[in-house]
Formats: sequence, C-alpha cells, structure tokens
Amino acid sequence: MTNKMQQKKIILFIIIAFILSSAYLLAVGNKFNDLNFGKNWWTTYFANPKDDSLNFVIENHTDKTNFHYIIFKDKEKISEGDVKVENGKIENIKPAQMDAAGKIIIEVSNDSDKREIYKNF
Amino acid sequence: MLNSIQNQILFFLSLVFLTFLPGWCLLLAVFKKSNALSLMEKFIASFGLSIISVDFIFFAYSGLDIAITRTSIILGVLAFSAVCLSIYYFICHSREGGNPDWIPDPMPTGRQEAGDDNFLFNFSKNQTILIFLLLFLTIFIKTAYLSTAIAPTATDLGHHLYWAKTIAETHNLTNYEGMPDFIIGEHTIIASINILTGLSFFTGWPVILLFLINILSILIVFILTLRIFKNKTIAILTLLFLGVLFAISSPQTKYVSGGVMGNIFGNFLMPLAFYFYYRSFEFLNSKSQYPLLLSQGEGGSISQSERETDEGMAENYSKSFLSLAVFSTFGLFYTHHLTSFIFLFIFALTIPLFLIINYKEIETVLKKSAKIVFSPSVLGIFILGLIFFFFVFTPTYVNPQAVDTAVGTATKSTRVGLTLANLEQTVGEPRIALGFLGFLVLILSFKRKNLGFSLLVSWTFMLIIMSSFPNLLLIDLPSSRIGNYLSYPLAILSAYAFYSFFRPDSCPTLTGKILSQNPKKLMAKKLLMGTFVLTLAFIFTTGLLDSVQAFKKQEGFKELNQTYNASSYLSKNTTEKDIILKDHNYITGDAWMKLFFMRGYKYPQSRGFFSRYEEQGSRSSDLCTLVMISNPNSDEAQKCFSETKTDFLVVNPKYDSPQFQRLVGFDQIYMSDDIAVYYRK
Repeated sequence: MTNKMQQKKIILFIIIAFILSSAYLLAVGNKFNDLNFGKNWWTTYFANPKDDSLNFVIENHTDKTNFHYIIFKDKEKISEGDVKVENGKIENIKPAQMDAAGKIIIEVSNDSDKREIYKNF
Repeated sequence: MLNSIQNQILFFLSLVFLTFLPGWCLLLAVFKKSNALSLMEKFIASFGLSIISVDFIFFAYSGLDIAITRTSIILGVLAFSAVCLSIYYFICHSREGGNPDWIPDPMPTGRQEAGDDNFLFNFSKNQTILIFLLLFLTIFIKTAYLSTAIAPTATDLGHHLYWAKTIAETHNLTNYEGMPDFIIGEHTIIASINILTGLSFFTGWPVILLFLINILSILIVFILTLRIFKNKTIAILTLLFLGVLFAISSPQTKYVSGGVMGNIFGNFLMPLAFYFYYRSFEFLNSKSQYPLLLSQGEGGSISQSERETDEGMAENYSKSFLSLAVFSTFGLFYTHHLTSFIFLFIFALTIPLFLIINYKEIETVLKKSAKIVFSPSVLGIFILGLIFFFFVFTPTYVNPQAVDTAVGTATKSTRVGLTLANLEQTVGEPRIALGFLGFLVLILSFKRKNLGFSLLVSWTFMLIIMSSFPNLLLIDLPSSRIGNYLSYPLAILSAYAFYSFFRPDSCPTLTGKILSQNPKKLMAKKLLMGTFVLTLAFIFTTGLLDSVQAFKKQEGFKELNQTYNASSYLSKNTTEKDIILKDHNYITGDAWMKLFFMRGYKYPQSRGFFSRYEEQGSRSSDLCTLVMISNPNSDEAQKCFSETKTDFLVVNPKYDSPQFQRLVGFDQIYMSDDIAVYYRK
C-alpha cells in the first residue's frame, strides 16, 4: 500500500467517523429540542400580560390531557371550567367578561399538579 | 425526518465549502503539486487556513462596506478560491515547458525515497491499525459525552452565539459593544454557517463544529510531533496521550460542550502556527528533509546542479511556510487574546533559546534565516496583516485597558499561580509525571539544531511559569485557564518519555552497555517489561477515569425547554422599552435567553452568582440586579426599579416566588414547574 493510499484511508476514516458521530449528535440534539420527547411539563400564562384581559393559555407537554381551571376574584370563586389539551398542543381560553377589580387569580390544575397566574387590578 | 436529513446535508456541505475549500486552494496556490506537505498535512492545515481566509474575507467586506449575506459569502469564498486556483494553474502551466515545479516531486528519482513525506507518513500495518483504534476511541468517547451534553445550555456558548447571531442578522461585523472579552474570529465561521444554511443556533451544530476543531487540534499536534521527532511511534503515542486519555476534561470535550470557543480555536490555531514556523526553519536542522538531501546525499550522491535546484526549492518552501505561519498567527490574533498572549511568550522564548544554543553558528543561522524572513512573500503577508489588524478591522481587545487587565501583579487567589497539586489536577497524573520526565529526557537528548526541540522546551517551560509563577512575568490572568494549555505540550512530552523508556532498544540505553552485555541482561529486560505493564496500567486507569462521565445520564432538558418557552413568550409580548431581569443562579440555560430578544448583549439583565456581589470589582457596584429579585419590596429595590425601569422578572418559582406573591405591584403572568414570570406595572 503506498503511503498516499494509507493517508487517504486515515483521512477517510476520520471523515466517516466524524460524519457518523455528527449525524448521531444532531439527531440527539433534535430530541432535546423537541418539547414533547421524553419531557413532562406544562405551563399556563396570560395571553397578553400587559392589558386587562384575562385570556390565558395552557400549553401541555405531558400525557395527561385533562385540565381544570378556576377563576377567583379576591379568593372568591367566580367561574371554572374543564379543558382538554393534547400532548404538544396549546389551548387559548377566553373567560367570560367580568368586572376586573382587586386580584384575579386563575388556578389551573392537571391531576394533582396546580399552577396559578394572577393579575392585580 | 426529511427536514432533519436535509439540515445535516446542508451543514456538512457548508463545512466543506467554508472550512476546507479556501484553505485547500490556498495550499495549491502556495505549494503547487509539490510534496512539501503530505496529504494528511494538507487536509488538516486546510481547515485552519480556511477559517482564517473566511475571517479576512469578512474583514475586507467590512472595510468595503459590503453586507455579509449568503450571496456575498458564496461569492467571496468562490472568488478567493478561484484566485488561488488561477495562481496554481497559471504557474504550473507557464512552467510546463520545463520548470520543475510542474513535476509533482522535483527530486531526482533516486532520492525520492529519502523524502520525509515518503518516510514519515508511511505507516506499517500495525501502526495504521493503532492510528485507527486511537482515533476511533477519541471520537467515540467524545461523542458519548457530547450526546448527553449537546443541548444548548452552556453559558459561554450562549454568549458567543449571541454575537454570531448578531453578525448573521445585521449582516455586518460587530464591535461587541466595546467589550474586549470577545474576538471576531470566534464568531465569523459560525455566523457564516448560519447565514449559508439557515440552521437554528438552538440545534447541536455549533457544538459539533467545536468538536471538529477539537479533533483537528489533536491531529495537528500529531503531525507536529511527527515532524519534530521524525518518529511515528512518538506521534502515535501523542494521539493516545492527547486524544484518548482525559478526553473529556478541560480543555477537551468539556470545553467543546461548554462553548469555550476561544480556547478550542486557540488550541488548534497555536499548534498550527507552530507547525508552519517549525517547517519554515526546518532547513536549519541538518537532518531535516531538504538539507539532508543536500548535505548527506542519503538517497545517493548529488550533482552541483541538483544541489542548486534543491537549495532553491528548500528556500522557496521555507518562505511559503513562513508566509503561512504569519498568516496563521494573524488568524490566531484575530481569534483569541489569551492564546495569542501565550503564543507571544512562547515565541519570545523559543527564538532566543534557539539562537543561544546555536551561538557557534549564529552568523550562518541568522544569515540563512534573514533570507527567508525578509523575503517579499513573508513581508507582504506581514504588512498586509498589519494593515488589516490596525486599519481595516481591529480586535476590541487592542486597547490599553485590556492590556492593564492582563498585565500586573496578581492579587486574586485564582491568579497567583497553580501549585503542583493544581497542575496535576489540571493535566492529569500520568501526563504530569511522564511529561516532566519527557522534559528531562528532551533536555538530556537535546538536538540543538532542531527548532522543534527549542519550541517544545519553551512551550512547556513558559506555560509552567505563566500558570505557576505568574508574578515573575507580571501576568494577571486566571492561572487555571493558562494551566489548561499545558496538556498539549505535556502530551507530546509524555509520548516522548514513554517511547524513550520503552522502545525496543531502550534496555541497553537504560541499563548501560556493560550491564546489557552481562548475564543479567535478561533480568533487566523482564524488569523493563514489568515496568512497562505497570506504567501502562497506571496511564489507562487514571487517564480513562474521566471518560466515565461520558456514560452518565444527564438531566435538565425539561428545565431548558421551559426557559426557552418563557423566553419565546416574553419576546412576543414585550418591546425594547420593556426591561427584563432574569436569574442566573437557578434558571437552566438562562444565558441563551438573549438570543430570543436580540436587544443587546446585556439584555436581559441578570442576577449573577451571589458570590459575585461580594467580590470587589466584580458585581459589587451593581446591587440592583440582586435586590430587585431577592428583596423586591426594599427601598433599595424600589429605587432600582424606578432607575432601571425593570418591568419583567424571570425566576425559578422553587426559589424566588414568595417575595413577589406577597406584593400587590407584581402580576404573576407565566407559571411552569421551573419558570415564573412577574410583571411590574
């Protein structure tokens, strides 16, 4: 085997090893960025944080799809509802118009897991 | 799936186009079809020369006010490559009628076999298998570690990618808001890959690019060792000591996943520059390639005309190598200040050391060197580099304030120098033990005409002084950062020590001729074999211990997704007038939040590590970022809120929510397991 051929083989080995390794790492990296791959979390937030609206969003990245929400006005329950949000989906919820005053708390629960968001008026 | 494959193909194509093509064409233009460089050397050097060439294309664009777009990058790289290829074809074809440069190897047939390329890169079957095995292990261990650490969480990487994204979005080079900590060469290649391919910065490719540079830094050390010692076993052992052993610890894969870009680039560009400098003055070593042919006629006797042809050729090659060395040095200075700083110190020791030990022939050495140094090509590149450096695009660290930061009497505990135990921790037990042994052996067997020996001694000695006794040189930089650089020369010296002691003919050398001839020779050999096995066991057990980390499962990606989700939410629901403060202590991947906003490097504001507020000169004068989260109702915080106009706060609810929930002035607008966002009306 000539030394040029030998060097070509070494270079080819490096290139192939790098490509295989990179392809694997890129695939793994994509999984980490996939919000629904092996992750188990959900979030809730106001659709618009600055205005007076109480529209809110539930974003689900769990297998549990049944959510329940309760709206409190200064600790007094004023409305509630159920919503089904599939894994990887986002649900916009628009509560009925109400007199926004005091502290409005939206409590969202998914099984035993509870989250609160609120606005002070 | 299809999209993912398409992205991968795009990434690999952009790598070939940006990190291989310009450098390869440049080497063709410089060396034509000669055998001055082996195929492997061309392959490795092409990468370094390509990234430097792309840097200079960007600088030229900056000077000419040309926007950095997909089209301009493609045209720039193609134009540069075309010019190089034109030079190559023009010179080759114009000489076809008789100029020896057109002939692939101008050496007379009888002496070709003695050429370095033929000898040095002609590996035996066992050596080839060993190279494959070591490269496989190196890549495998690093890949295994990166597969658990490739998610974009690292703080340093987040900071660097912000600047790369700035270049990509503004289509111009950035001035880093005047900050000297960032240097343009760290970001040009990443920005250009992003511009060409459109790949998101939030995928794994930036880390993979650093991984590639890391592998190439090991390979450049491999060829440098091969050239200096002219010994394949030592070079192969360097692959073991630098590639396989301590493959994870700093400055190897941990720096790759952490996005410590400057060091990763620097650890490739500095040995590359060393390699070219070494090759430039290789002719001074009578046993090197061309002079060996000239003086010894090892491949047969040579005539006067052949001697003259070889002399001219050797001189031309030296000039070409030195031009590339100067080019690489500018590339290094445009990429990382700390490595450049270290490079200067090593360089400043190598030259006088070489001249002092060759004082008897100093006149000849200087005369021969002057012919190379003051040649038009070398001076041309040097002057052009200076013009670019000071008039076209000057790195931000070139200012008196930055120099003041690096030079002076060290006072901080992290800057007063490393102890031997610290050094041992930094580079690993076997490398420090064998490295120091190798240093001694190198001194004892010093080949004064071999510039590589002076270089290795200076490289090691200067790094030890700079990292362990910084006050001697008035260096005021973190000692551990400098100490990390030691792993490179110590890996070479470890390989040299290991080879010197255990090579097949080492028994007579170690035990002395008399002992080896007496009946105890057999016992001495057995003793040596025992020591060999024990040393090997010690090297592998300690050297591979850190690779265990490669196979640990890492958590934290759920938290990272939440950080990104909240950042995306805020970027859609805020404007530049809104001021955001986030916490760096308890939020995963918070450094990457700025990439969602692109509203300045210091946006959003950050509550830094708590210890920083206690250190004098660190964040001690910036208490606002601390109190606005830690104690938002305090008078001090209220004053800070009105002064900074901070209206959004991002914290981890497990640690920092109750203090906001007690207050009426804050709305809790976003809530997940690990991220809460508060809005201050």
